Amino acid sequence: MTTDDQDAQFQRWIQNHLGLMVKVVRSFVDGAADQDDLLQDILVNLWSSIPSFRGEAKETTWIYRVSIQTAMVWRRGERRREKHQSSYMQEVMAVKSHGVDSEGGDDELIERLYSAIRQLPKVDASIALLHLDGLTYREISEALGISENYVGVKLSRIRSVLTERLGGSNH
Amino acid sequence: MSFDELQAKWQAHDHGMRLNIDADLLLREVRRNHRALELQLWQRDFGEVTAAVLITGVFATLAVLMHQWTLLLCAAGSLFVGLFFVVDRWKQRRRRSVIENSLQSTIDASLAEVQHQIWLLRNILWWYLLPLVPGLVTFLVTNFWQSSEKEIAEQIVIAVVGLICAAAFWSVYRINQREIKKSLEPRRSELEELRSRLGPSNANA
Repeated sequence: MTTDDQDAQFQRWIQNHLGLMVKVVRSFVDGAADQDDLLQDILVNLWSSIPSFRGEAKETTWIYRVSIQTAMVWRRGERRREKHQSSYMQEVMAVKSHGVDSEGGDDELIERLYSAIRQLPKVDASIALLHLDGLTYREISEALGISENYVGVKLSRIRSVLTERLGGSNH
Repeated sequence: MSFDELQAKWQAHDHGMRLNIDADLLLREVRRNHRALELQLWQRDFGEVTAAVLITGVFATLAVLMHQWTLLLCAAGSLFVGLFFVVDRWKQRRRRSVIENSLQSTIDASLAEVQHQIWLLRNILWWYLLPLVPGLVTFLVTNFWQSSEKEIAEQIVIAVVGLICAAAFWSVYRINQREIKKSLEPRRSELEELRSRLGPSNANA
């Protein structure tokens, strides 16, 4: 794969799936600076991972996998960056975090849901996010590299915990 | 509200998806960040090796100028430390991969990296401090005995230098052991816990 192909693929993924990465970021870390740092790491890893993408998995599964794996082992302040390097990403993250285009008045509920997800253990948070996004057990299993049975076992508890934290009932 | 209703609201929510992104600008930024990270790693390695080479040079020059051939042992010790850095970084970099096939392998890779850091710091006495000791001790002891016929003041100076060196070595050792406890061991526990949460078997994933 040439660098031009890699760049073109990356730009296409950014246009179509940046929101997905932002959701992963918001599900794992709070605070603008940390979110910006994590998004940068995800984007760099995604760009670097493109030559390894053989099309065996769906594009979204691959992007989820790279994003979640990066978020899972990410650690605050591990890498020092110069301030000017993240200017555009900070802008993207700030705009996306505030959901300028959102409709329907569910912002507060969604924000509480993000907060509830962040309180879960990291593996559970990943499963919760993928399940909320509508991925099947099989797709969650592929994205995370864990067994489908285990996804099932985990999900029943995660559903209860999230519903409880948001003051509802898990029916 | 039930979970299914929550899920429906989550999926109906925009999450800022329709924001118009300048993909060109973002790509440039990502590539710049990638280069910056590579440069950061390279600078760190280069700095360590340069320091070792400089110290080796200083010891070797002093040995020649002062006709203190015991200082060549210090130069050899510094050179050993520099070479150890180079070989270790090279081996670690070969092992480093961007992203693994499964979450478990990514966590395992991070865990291996942390365990290697712990091993390095825990054994800092053997690969960083001790190689410098024979040269320094030989240099100080030789000068101490050679000066015994001259002045007691010179002996005191040599003894003080020896004590300062010992204190410096002890501080380096303690700082690194503290770093293991404060930062690396909690990180290792965190990763081990993460791995244990992945469940009993990943065979069919």
